[in-house]
Formats: sequence, C-alpha cells, structure tokens
Amino acid sequence: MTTAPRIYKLDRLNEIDNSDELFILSIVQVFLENAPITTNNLVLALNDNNLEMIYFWAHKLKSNINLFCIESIMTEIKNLEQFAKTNTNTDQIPGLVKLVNEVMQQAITEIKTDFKL
Amino acid sequence: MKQETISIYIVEDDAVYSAVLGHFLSLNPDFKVKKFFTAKEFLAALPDKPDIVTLDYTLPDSNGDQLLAKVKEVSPATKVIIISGQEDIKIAIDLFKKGANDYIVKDADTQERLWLSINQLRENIALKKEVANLQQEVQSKYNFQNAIIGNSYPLKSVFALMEKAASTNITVSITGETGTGKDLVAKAIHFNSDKRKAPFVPVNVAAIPRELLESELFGHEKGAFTGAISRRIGKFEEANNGTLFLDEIGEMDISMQAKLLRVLQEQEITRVGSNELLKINVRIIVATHRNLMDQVKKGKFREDLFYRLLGLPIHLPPLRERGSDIILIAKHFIDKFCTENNLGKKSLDIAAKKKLMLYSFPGNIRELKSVVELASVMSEGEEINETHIQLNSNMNNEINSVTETLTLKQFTSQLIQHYLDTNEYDVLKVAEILDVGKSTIYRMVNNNELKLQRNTDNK
Repeated sequence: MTTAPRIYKLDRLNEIDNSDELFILSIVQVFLENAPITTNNLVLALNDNNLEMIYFWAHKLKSNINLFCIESIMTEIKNLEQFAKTNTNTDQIPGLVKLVNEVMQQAITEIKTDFKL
Repeated sequence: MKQETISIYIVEDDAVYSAVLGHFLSLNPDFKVKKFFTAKEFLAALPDKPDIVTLDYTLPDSNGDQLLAKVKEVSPATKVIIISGQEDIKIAIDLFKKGANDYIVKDADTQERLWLSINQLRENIALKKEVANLQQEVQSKYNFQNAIIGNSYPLKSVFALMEKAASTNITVSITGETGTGKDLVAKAIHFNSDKRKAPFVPVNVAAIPRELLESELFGHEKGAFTGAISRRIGKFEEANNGTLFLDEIGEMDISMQAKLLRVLQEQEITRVGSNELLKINVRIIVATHRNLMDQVKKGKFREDLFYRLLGLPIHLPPLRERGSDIILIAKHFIDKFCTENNLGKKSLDIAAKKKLMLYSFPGNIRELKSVVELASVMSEGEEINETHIQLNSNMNNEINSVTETLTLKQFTSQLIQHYLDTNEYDVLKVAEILDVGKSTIYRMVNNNELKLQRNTDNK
C-alpha cells in the first residue's frame, strides 16, 4: 500500500480476522459511507448549539476513531463527548469539533486514496 | 455435547461497528447473526426469540434500558449483552439488576470480551436446550401409550385408571404378577402428573435389609448408629414435592409398617437419631405382587396401613390375559434388541406367533423379553420361526404343545378354548381379547368345537 505516514492504522481491524483483506475492505467501505455523515452531523449539531446531539454524534464517532486507530484525536473525542454530556468546559467544544472534523476529513481522504475507492 | 446453532441479534446503529461485530461473530459457523440498526427493526424481529442479543446502549430511537425491559418481557430466556460506548458503573449495575447478562464497553478489547461472554452464555444456553430436550424425551417416553405397549381390552381399563391417577395426587396401589410392568406404570403416572418436574424416587422394599430400611426411607443424623459417619437424607426427603414409589410394599416388616403409617398420617418425618420433625409433601405410589388383603388376614400386613395405602388400586393383568398384546410387545422387544445389537430387522413367522400366543408366560413381560431376545440371537435370517422360540417353563400350560399335525381350524379352537378356560368362560371378554366376533365363538360352541365349561379331555 503506502509507506508515507498515515493518520490512521489498520492494526485493530487486522487483529480481528488475521488481516483478512475482504473483511478489511468491507469495513472500509462501510466506514467511507458512514463516517462523513456522522462527522457532518457533529458539525451541524455544533452549529445548532445542541449539546445533546453533540454528545450523541461524538459518542458514535468515538468507536470509529478507535477502530481505525486515529490516535491524534482519541483523547479529544473522549473529552468532547464528556463535556457535551456533562455540560462542562463548553467553551472548548467548538475547537474540539473543529479539530475532530479536520482530522476525520484527512483520514477519509487517506483511506480513499489507499484503497483506491 | 452437540454444538447447537446459536442465534444472535446485533442491535447497533453505527454501521461500521455493526459490520465489525457481525463479521467477528460470523467467524464461528455455529453463530447465526442478524443485524438491526434501529430499535424499531429489532422489536419487530424480537418475537422470533433469539438466544443472545447484543444491545448498543445508545440508539437514536431508544436506549438500552427500555430495550432490555422489552426483551425481558417478550422473550425472557434471551440473554442480553449491553455494549456501551461509555464506562458508567451506575448504569451497568442498574442494567444487571434489570436482567442484563453482561456489560461491555467499546474499547480496544471489546471483541475479545464479547467472544468470551458469548461463549459463556452459549454453554448455559446449550445446557438449557439439552435439559428441555431431555424433558421432552422423558415426557414422550413415559407417555402412557409409549410406556406400556398394547391395546387389549384389559389394558384399556388400566390406561383409564392411570389417567385418573395422573390428574390427582391420590395414593396409588399397583398390583400384578411379577414382570407385568408395575414400575413402568408408577413412572408413567409420575411423569404425566403435575409433579413431573420434581423427583421420582423408587425404593424396592424387598431389596433393602430390614434394619437399614428406616434410615434409607427417613435418613439419619451423623452418629445415629454404628456406621452412620455422616448425615444422610432419606428417600422421603429426596422425593419431597415429587413421587415416592415403594415397590414390593408387601415385604415390609410389620414394625416398619407402623412407622410408615405414622409418617403418612402426619406428613412429617424424623431422621433416625434426630428429634426434629420435617414436613414433607410426597405423593405415594406402592406396588406389590402379593394379595395384600390376604396378608392382612394372615396378620402380616397392618389393616390400617392397607386402607391408608389402597387409594386408587390399579391391577395389571398378566400377559396371558392380554391376547394379541403378546405379539405387539414381542415385536417391540425384537426391534429394540436387534437395533441395539446390529442384528438387522427380524420378524416372527406365523408359527412362532402361535407358539407365543399359546404360552402362559408365568414370568410375564420380563419372560417374554428374554424369550424373544434369545430367539433374535438364535435366528440366522430375517425370520424368527418356532424353533427359535425356546420356552423355559414347563409350568401348567394346557396347550403349550403345538403339534405339527394341527390344522388351522383345530389350532383356532384350541386357542379360543384356552382363553375361555382361563377367563371363566366369559365369551364377551374372550371375543374382545382375541379380537374375534362373539357370534363366531357361539357358532363354534354350537358345533361342539368349543366347550363353555371345563373339559378334562381337552388336552
């Protein structure tokens, strides 16, 4: 595939079924169909200033970020989820959403390129 | 144990995670996995009662709490694993209280934990399924018609009494010659009664030394007598809420009879060496090959106990009074024996059937079983003929010699005469047993082919 450093890793998916290529490809396809929508919903929830929905989408995005080992925002997505749920540190929320969105877009682009999709 | 297919529903709105879980679980070919993305879809399929459900705690149209309650309501046996994106002890404890079987947090080792969890639940599910299968097997094995083979007239009245016995808790006393299947009747009554899920405990009174019977029935405390090295519960306690079957009750020692009577009257027992009274709720079925009334007259059986135990009396007819049942039962034993011993399929030829029908079977079904099993071994081909039937008894059996020279007509009249002789010349009864018209018998009487009284020449 590629030797350039990537923002995501397939380590966890490889562990699940001994690097079964078809399995990885199927998960990647589902990811590419869904992650852009989820990320977009998170941004829309911020625009609406709807904490409940920010929590909901951040929560959903968290497992995707975990599965694709997008380490640079793992702590951030947890914080975002927590702040939105508990209505704390709300001043940090817009910045966190912005960062998560940017990194997700980058991951999506990289994955599309790597899998030629 | 045979691995059963386990049906698993994944309820997860995150398509990526759902695909990962679905794929991961499908790696085991025994797991039949279905995926649901919304609570609505899942609830529509819930009546199919999956074995296991993995529930995402946060769904757009519901939450784990509500769905768990719904699962417990619609399909209580379904195991529920909650998968949550957040570790929240309070929520987890609350879900466990409401009947969740596991709570797994989505993180690095979710798959491994889920795999472990499902495999543990699976053992539990497999055991439950096995228990249910066995219960069904026992139920069908002791279904009256399966437990006792035959459709002769005397047996039909036995079935009718057994049904009455099974539908109540009345004490049942079964009498009948040795080998008539008294224990089978007792078991069949138990497994068709509302006590079927509680124990059926058989005790053969004749097989237990008289000095041990009391502790066998009522149990004993540690040190109650030499050799009582630990506390032991007795058969009455073991059978609590179920059925205690006292076989060969006629052999019970007279002093023991007094103790048994007291227990039956008070419905409580005391273990040997204890002062504590224990309440018991046990259905009693007794059996004997003796005529208990005769034993009462001889002073060998307490009259008060006799009446206490009489309850619903069921008399099992001896095999010789059951006409064509002999052939039905013989076939059953031959099929069973040949299957168990890989002997191929064998059947009785006409002469062999005649020979069996004419014999008096003093040992009843037990004797018939050994006779036909031996015959199955002796016969080489598919047919069992009369030379294979070796009757071991030369007890008084008026027509047990089938000579080669008999014509069918002579044979028929000998057979009917034999049944008339042994059934007090009751034409209707014999017609029923042998499945011939009563007018046929009367015609043969008119033709002097049969006698309606004992004929000493008829040998």
